[in-house]
Amino acid sequence: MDYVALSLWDLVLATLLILINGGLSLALNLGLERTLFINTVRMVVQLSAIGFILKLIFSEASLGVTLGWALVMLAVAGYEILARQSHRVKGLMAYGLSTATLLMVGLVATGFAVLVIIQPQPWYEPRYFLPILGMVLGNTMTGIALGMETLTVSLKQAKGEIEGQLMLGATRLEAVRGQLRHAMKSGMMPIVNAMAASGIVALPGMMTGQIIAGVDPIDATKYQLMIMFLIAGGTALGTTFGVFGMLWLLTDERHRLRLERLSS
Amino acid sequence: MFTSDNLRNEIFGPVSFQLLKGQSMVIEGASGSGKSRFFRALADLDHAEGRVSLNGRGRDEMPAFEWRQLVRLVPATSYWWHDEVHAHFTDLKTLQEQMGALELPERLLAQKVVDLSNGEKQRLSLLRALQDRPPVLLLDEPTSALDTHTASLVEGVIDEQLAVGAILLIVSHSPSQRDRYGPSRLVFKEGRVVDSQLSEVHV
Repeated sequence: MDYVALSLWDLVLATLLILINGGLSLALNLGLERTLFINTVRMVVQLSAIGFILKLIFSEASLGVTLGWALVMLAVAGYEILARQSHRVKGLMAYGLSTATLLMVGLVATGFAVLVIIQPQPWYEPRYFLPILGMVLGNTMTGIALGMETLTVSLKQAKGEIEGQLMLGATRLEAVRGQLRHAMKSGMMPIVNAMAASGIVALPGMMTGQIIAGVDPIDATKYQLMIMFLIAGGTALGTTFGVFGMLWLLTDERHRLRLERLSS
Repeated sequence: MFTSDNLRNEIFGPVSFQLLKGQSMVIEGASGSGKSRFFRALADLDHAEGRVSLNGRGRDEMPAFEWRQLVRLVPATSYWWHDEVHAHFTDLKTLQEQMGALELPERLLAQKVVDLSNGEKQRLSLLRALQDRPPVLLLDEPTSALDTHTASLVEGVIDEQLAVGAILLIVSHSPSQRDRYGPSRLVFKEGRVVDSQLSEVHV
């Protein structure tokens, strides 16, 4: 494939643009220069590290190393879901739930992509497996986190209304129907909206990358479409699993609301 | 027969009593003394140790939603989950008669819940709880938002329930209601029953 590789010198030139940012912060007294500096360094270190790690994994191309890295991605994404919640569930159950949800979605969506659709040789070829898993996890994570957050917040808000229905003999599922629907919707809206906007407002990142790397735009589009379908399916699956799991953590088998299990 | 045997949790108890069909009991005590939490536990909305049973069938021997169809809690503050008043009711025909008895105009049913007064909400929430004729009623200050005349109408509706065999536990600060639904009573202080007069039940 033909593309212009960047030299180290090219990158140094690009950092000049960050200097504009810092200069503006100083001139307008925004006080951002410290954070800007730290975050720039963080980004450079993190991305370089990932570059080297992926290079190592790709050259190794072994099943164990690939799955090992996939587990690291899962663990971090599971933690990220929790970090986005304004109310945490006490104990480790919520972390277990979000990681289990991601594991299931990752297995189903990525497994489907590499085993049924792309079929690379070998099937765990990290060049396909890891980026696809990454895109699926990154987007599903957003849906799950939003769905769980909306559920906890709306359960808290509607405590009286929900218990009012329980008192009249409703089951927990009947009593939280509205909150459940609201949570599912907010988990799935971002990906539904992204489908409408993609291509017109911005070219999706992967498609841009493939086009720069010299892939025919039609081929790049096909890949992008496949990824969007995977993400949409994965988000629906993950949001459902995550939201229902959260509902089970916040209610009990005696059909009671157990909001005291939230720590804040 | 509605029976509580050593019912307790970290807030209140232990509480034991037995009530027969048509019997009533008054629950007294200052705010925060555990009366409402005791009611929540009877309705199985809060966890509690000990045994509660209705006609020999224990709370834990049936699903919680079935238990709450039998043991009906009407809390001091009512909650509404639909916008329209009528959407909260199933049996509109019986309801209209009962509304007449409580001097509630029928047009309220077509209104939005936000437009109801507190007194209207309190009466309607009682009628909502009576729709499927639960055999046990736990009423938490059912006339707190009402004037004496309207309160007496509500007492009439409650009396009708007792007459057809309902079992009543009522939290009340009104002396006349204490006389009316006593002499059985439980007095709570800081979660414990400090005084009681229980109905005589010979098993």
